[in-house]
Amino acid sequence: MTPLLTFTMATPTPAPPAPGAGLFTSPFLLSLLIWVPAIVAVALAFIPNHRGRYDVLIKQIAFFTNLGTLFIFFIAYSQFENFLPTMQYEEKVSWLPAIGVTYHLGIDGPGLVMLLLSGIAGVASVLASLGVRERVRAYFALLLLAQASVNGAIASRDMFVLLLFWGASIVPIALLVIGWGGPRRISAAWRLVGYWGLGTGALAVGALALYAAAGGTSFDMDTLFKATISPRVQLGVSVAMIIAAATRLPLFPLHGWARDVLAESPPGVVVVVATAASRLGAFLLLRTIIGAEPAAAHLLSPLLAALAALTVGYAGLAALRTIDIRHAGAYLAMVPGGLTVLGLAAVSPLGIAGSVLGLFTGGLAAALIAGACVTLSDRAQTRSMALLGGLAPRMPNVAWLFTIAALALLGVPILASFASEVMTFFGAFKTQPIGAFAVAAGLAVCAVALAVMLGRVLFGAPNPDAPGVSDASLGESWYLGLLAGALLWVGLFPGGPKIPGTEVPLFDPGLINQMSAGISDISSPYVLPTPAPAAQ
Amino acid sequence: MGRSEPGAARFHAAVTALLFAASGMLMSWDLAELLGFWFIGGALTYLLLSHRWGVAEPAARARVALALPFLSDVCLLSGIAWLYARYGTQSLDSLLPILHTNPGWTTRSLVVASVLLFVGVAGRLALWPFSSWATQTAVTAPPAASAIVQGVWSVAGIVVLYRLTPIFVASNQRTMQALLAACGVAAVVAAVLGILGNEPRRAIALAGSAVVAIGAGVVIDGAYHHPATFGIAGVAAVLAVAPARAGALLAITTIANAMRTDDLADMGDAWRRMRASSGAVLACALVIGLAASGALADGVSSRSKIGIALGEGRAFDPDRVREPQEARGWPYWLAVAGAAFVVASLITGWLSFLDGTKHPAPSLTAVALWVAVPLIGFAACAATYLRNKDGALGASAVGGAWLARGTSLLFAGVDRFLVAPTTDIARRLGDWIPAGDGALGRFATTTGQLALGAARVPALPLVIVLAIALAVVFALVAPGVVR
Amino acid sequence: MRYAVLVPEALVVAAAMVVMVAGRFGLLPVASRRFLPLAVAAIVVLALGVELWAGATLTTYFGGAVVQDRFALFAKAAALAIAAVALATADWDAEDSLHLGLAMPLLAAFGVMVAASAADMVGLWAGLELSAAAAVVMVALRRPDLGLRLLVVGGIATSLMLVGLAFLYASTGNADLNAIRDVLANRPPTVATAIPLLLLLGGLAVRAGIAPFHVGPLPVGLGASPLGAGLVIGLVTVAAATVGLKLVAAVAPISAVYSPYAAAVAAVAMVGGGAAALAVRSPRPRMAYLAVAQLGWVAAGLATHFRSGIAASLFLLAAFGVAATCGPALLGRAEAGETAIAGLGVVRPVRAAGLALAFLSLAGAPPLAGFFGELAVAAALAQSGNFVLLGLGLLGSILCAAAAVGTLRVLYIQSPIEEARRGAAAALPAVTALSTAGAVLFCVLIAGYGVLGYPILGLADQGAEALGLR
Repeated sequence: MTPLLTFTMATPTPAPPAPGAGLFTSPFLLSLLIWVPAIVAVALAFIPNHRGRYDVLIKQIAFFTNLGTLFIFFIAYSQFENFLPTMQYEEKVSWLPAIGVTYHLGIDGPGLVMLLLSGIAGVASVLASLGVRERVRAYFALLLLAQASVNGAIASRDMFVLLLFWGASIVPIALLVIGWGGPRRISAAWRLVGYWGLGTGALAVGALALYAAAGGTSFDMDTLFKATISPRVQLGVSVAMIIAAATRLPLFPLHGWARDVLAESPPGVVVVVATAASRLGAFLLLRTIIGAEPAAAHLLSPLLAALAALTVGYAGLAALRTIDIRHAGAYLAMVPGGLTVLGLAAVSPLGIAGSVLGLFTGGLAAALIAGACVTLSDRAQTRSMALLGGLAPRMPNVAWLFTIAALALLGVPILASFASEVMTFFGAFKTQPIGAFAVAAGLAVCAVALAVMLGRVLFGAPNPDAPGVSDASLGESWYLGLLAGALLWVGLFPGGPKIPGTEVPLFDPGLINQMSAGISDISSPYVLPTPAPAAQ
Repeated sequence: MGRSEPGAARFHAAVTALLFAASGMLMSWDLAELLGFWFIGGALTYLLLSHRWGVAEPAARARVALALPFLSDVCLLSGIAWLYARYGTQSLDSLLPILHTNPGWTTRSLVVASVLLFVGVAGRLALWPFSSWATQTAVTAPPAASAIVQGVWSVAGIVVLYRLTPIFVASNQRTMQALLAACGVAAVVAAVLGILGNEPRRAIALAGSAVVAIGAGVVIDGAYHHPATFGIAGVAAVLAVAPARAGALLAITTIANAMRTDDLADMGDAWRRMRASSGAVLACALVIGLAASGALADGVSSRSKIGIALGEGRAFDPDRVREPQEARGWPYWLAVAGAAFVVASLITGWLSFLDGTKHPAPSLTAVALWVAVPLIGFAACAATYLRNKDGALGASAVGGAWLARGTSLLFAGVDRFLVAPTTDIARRLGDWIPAGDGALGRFATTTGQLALGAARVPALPLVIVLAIALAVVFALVAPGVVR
Repeated sequence: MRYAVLVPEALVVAAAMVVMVAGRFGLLPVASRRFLPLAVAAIVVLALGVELWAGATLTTYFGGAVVQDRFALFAKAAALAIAAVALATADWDAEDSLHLGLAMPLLAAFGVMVAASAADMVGLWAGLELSAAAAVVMVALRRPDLGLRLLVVGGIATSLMLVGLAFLYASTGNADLNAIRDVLANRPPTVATAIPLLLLLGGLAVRAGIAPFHVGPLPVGLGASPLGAGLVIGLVTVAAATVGLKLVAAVAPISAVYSPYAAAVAAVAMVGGGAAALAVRSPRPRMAYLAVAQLGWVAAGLATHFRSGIAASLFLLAAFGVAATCGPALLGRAEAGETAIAGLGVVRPVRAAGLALAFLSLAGAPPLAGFFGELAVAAALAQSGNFVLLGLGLLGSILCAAAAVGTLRVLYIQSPIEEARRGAAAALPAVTALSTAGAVLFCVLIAGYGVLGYPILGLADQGAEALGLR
C-alpha cells in the first residue's frame, strides 16, 4: 500500500484495540464531555473569589477539568470501533416529543476527529490563559462554557440540539472577547455576534426547512437525512447551510468577524475560536450537505470550490498587505478553512477524507498561526510589522513555533496538515480542477505573505526603535507547543505507533484509523477513482 | 559552515534533514511520497538559506527562497494531484503503463500534467526564470548552506525529472518541444545573465543553473528523440556540475570574505595571494563548463543550441588578503568529484550503470565539438580579460547595473500593475467589509432609534389610528372577505 | 375534590385581599416587612402546588362559564409560578408599598387565571381587565400621571375590544367560545366579522404593548417601580396573550382573516423590538424592548393557527412571562442607566446571574427558556411554510442577542461604581434570603425550562388541543 492510500478512508479495516480499551465504559460518555465543563463552569462562577484570592485554584480547576475531559475523550478514542460506519456512543432520549426533538448524541469518525481537536484546544486554551489576571473566575467559567457548547455541537445528532449548542457558543465567546480583548474588542465582539448570529439564523432556517420538508415530525438527523426531499428544498437547505458554515469557518465574504476577533482576543480565546468553534462550519457542511444531500452537493460543489478559492486567495493577499501582525495571523488562519472546503467541494472519497483530516489539522494550524501572532505581538509589545524585526534570536521559542505554524499552513510533511492537503488536492483535481488550481495559486500567495512575515519579523535585523521583547512564558510555549505537537504527532504517526513487530497499537489507535469510521458511509454516493489494469 | 556562523546545531540539523529528504526523493517511486520528501526539502532549504538570523539582508533575500520555489512546489503538487485524479494512482510503477490506456485519458490532461510537473521540478532546479531563489541568496546565505542547497537540489531535481519524462513523452510532440525550448531558453538566458554583473557567487549560481538547464534539456531531448537512451546523459552532466558548483561557491566565498567585497572589480591578484582558492575556482569553473559536454555529445550530437557560462574565468587583485587553511579542503575535493563525474559522463559504462541500458559510445567528433564550445568560451573570456580586464569588468558591471535596473523595473511593474492592485483590493475589502457590517449595525441601531422615537409621539391618537387602520386594511385584504 | 381545582384562585384572592386590607388599615406590624413577602410567596407556591396536583381534573363550573382544561392548567400554573418568583425576587426596598406590591401581582395572576378558565368572551375580558387594573395601581403608586395614562391607554384597548366583542357576538349570536367556533366553521368570513375581530385583536395588542402598539403602555411601564414595570411588561401581557390564544382558537375557522394581521404585527415586533433593544443602553428599556421582540414570537405562533403553533406560543408565553415579569424585579431601581448595574456580577452575583439569564432568555439565546419557546414557534412557522416571518424573527433574535450581550458586558465586564458615587438611582438591591432564593429559583426556571421541556411542552400541546385545535 502506498503512503497516500494509507490515508484514504474508503476501505476501513478493523484494527486491534489499543491497550486500555474497555477499561471504562459509560452510556453517557458524550454527555460527560459536554456537561462536565458546563457544570464546572457554573460552579466556578459562584466560587467566592474576593480580590482574586483563588485565582490560581480557579486556573487549576479549569486546567484539570480540561485534562479530565481529554482523558474521557481518550477513553472514547481508544474504544472507538474504527470499522463501524454507524454512529457510536449514541445517547437518545426523547426530549420535546411534541415537536420531535430528541436529545440525541453520537459520533462517527469525523466527529471523533472534531472532539479530539476540541479536547486539545481546551487544554491549550487554558495554558494560553494562564497569564489572565483580571476577572479570572468569569474568564474561565466562560471559557469552559464555550468549550462545552462546542463539544455539544460536535456530538449532536439532532438538528434542534445542534442549533442549541451552535448558538450557545456565541454569547460566552463574545463576552470573552469583550472582557479580555484588545483595543478594538467591542467592535470585534459585535461582529462575532452579528456574523455568528447570522450563521445561527441560517442554520435555523436550513434545519427548519429540512424539518418541515421531512414531515415536521422529527429533528433527528437520522430521520431528516434519510427523508426524500425535493431537489429544490435540498438546494435551499444547502444554501442556508453554506451561509451558516461560511460565517463560522470563515469563508469569504462572510469572514468579517475573523480579523477583529482573532486579532483582538486573548490567546486562549483565539485557540478556542480558531480550532473547533470555527471548524464546526466545515463539519456542518460535511454532515448536512456532503453526507446528506448528494444531489445538492454535486450542484453546489462549484460554489463551494469558488468560495474556497476566494477565501484562500483573499486571505493571502490581505495578509500580504497588512502591517498588523495580528491581522496577518487572522487572515492566514482563514486559509485552512478554504482548503477543507475545497476537499468537500471535490465530493470524492479522497477529498472528503482529506477534509475530515483537514478539520483537525486546519484547526490546529489556524490556531497555531493566529495564536503565535498574538503571543508574539504580546511579547514584543507591538503589533506593527513596521516595528517588529529580528525577533528570532531574542525569542527563539516563539520563533520556532511561528515557523512551524507557517510550515503547517503551507502543508509541509511531518506535520499532519501535509496529509490533509495532499488528500484534498488529490481529491479535488478530478472534479474541481479550476477551483483546485485557484486554491493552489492562493496558497502560493500565502507563501509569499508568510515569507515576508518570517523574513521581516523573525529573521531580519532587529529594530532599535522597537519596544523590548521577551520570549514566551512557559504557558505560552506549552500551548503553542501542544498545538504544534499534535500536528507533529499525527503527521508522524497518522495510523498510530505500533508495538514493534506487532500490529498492536502502542497506546494510540491512530487518528487515521479512527476517522475512517463513517467516512465510507458519507462518501458512498460518490465515485472512487480506480486505476485501470496495466496495459499488457 | 564558518566558525563565526551562529546556530551550529540548527544548521547541521537542517543539513542532515535536507540530505534525508533528498535521499527520500531519490528513492521515491511513489509521487505522493516524493511530494512529501520534496516539501520537507523545500522547508529545510528555506531554513538553511535564512539561517543568518538577525541580519536584514539575508532575511530579505531569503523571502524569495520560500515564496518562489513554493509556487513551483504547488505546481508539482497540482501536477501529481491532476494525474491521480485521472488515473487513480500515484505510483509511477502503475501509472506509467496506463497513461494511454486508462479510461477517459486525454492528451490534454497529459499536457497539463506534464507542464505542471516540469514547472514543479524546474523551480527547485532553479532553472531560469526560477533561478532567483538561488542567485539572490548565494551571497547572503551561509556559503555552506548555499552550496549544499544548490548541489542537492540539482541532483534530486534532475533525477526526478528523468523519472517523469515518460509522462512528458506520453503527452504530445508540441509539449515536448515547448519543454525543450524552455530548457534551452533557461540555459541561454541564465548563462547570459551570468556574464552580466560582477557578483561572482551569483554568476556561479547562474552558470550552474544554465548547465542544469542543459542537463534537463538533454533529459527531455533524449526521451523525445531517443527514448530511454541518451536522456541519462543529462543526469550524468548534472551529477558532475552539482559538486563543482558547490565547490566553486565555497572557494569564491573564501576569496570574497578575504577581500571583503563581492564585486569582481574590487578584487584582484588572487592567483598570487590566494592560489589555492583561485585554483579551486578555476577547477570548478572548468568542470562546470565541461560538465555538459558529454551530455551534449551523447544526446544532441549534431545540434548546437547552447552557449555555456563564460563569466567564471576571471582573475583577482587582492592586496591585504591571505589564504585560510581550509581553502585546500572541500572545494578541491568537490572539484575532483565533479571532474570525475565529467569524465564518467563520457564513458558509456557509467551511463549504462545509471539507467541499466546499454549505450553506444558517442562519436569523438561530437565530444570534441562540445568540449570545444566551452573551451572557446573560456578562451574568449580569457582573451577579453587579457586585452582589457578593467574594460571587461566595467562592461560587465554596466551590464549588471542595467540588468538590475531592468529587473527592478520589471518587478516595479509587476508590483504596480499586479501585486499592488490585487493586494489593494484585498486591503480595501478588508476595510470595506467591516465598514459595511458596521454600517449595517448602525442601520439596525437607527431603526431602533425610530422605534424608540415612536414611543415619544402622542401615543393615544397613534394607537387608535393604527388599530383601526390596520384592522380595516387587513380585513379588506384577507382572502374571501371581500367578494 | 372537584372544587379543589378552585383552591388556587381562592388562595390567591384571599391572600391579596388580606394583605391589601391589613395594609390599608395599618394592621401589618413593621416587623412583618421581613417575613410577609416570604409568607405571600409561600402561599402562591402552595397555590401552584394545589393547581398542579388538582388541576388535572377536567371539569366546568358555574354553568360552563369557567372550565378547567389543560389550557387552563398550563396558563394558571404559569401565572402562579410567575407571581411566586416575582414576589420572591423583588427588591422590596425599591417598591413604593409593601402591601399593594404584594397584592397586585396576586390579582394580576388571578386575572390571568380567570382568563385562562373563561369559556366565554365576558370571562376573557374580565380577567384581562383585572390584571390591567392591578398594573395601573402599581404604576400609580409611584407616578400617578403615568397611572392615569395607562388607564387611558387601557381604556382605548378596552373600547376596541368591546367593539370587537359586541360585533362578534352580534354576527355569531354567541359569547361562548366553542359556539363561536362552531358558527364560524360553517360561515365564510365577512367584513362585518373581519373588522371587529381585528379590532378585538388590536385591543389585545394595545394591552400587551406589542409593537407597533407599544407606544401606549411601554413608556408607562418604564416609569413604574420594579415590580410595577414587571406587571406592565410581563403579567398583563401574559393575560392579554392568554386571551389572544383562546380567542384565536375560537376563531380558527377564519384564520385567513387574522393570520396576516398577526404575522404583520409579529414581524414589526420581532425586528423593531430587537432593533430598539440594540439602540437603547439603559437596562430596563432594553429589557422592555427585548420583551416586545419575544412577544412578537408569541404573535407569530398565533399566526400559524394550528395546534402545534398555538402550543408553541403557549410554551413560549410561560417562558416570556417569567423573564419579563421577574426581570424588572431583579433589576431593582436601576434608574441611573447602565451605571446602576455596572459590575453587578461582582457585588450581587446571584442577582446578576438572574438578570443575565433574564436578558438572554428574552433575547432567545440558547439554552434558556426563551430559546426553546422561540424554536418551538419557529418549527411551527416552518411547518406552515412561513419562512419570511421565520427569517424576520431570526433577524430580530440576532439583534436581541447583540443587545443582551451588551448588557452582560455591563454586568460582568465593567467595574462597579464606587459606593460613594452610588446615589439612590443606582442603589444596590438589598440582599435577603428570600431575594437570593428567588433569584436562584428564577435561574433554575429559566435554565431548566428546556430540560423540563418534555412535560411542559407536552402540557402546552394538550392545552392547545383542549382549545379545539388540530
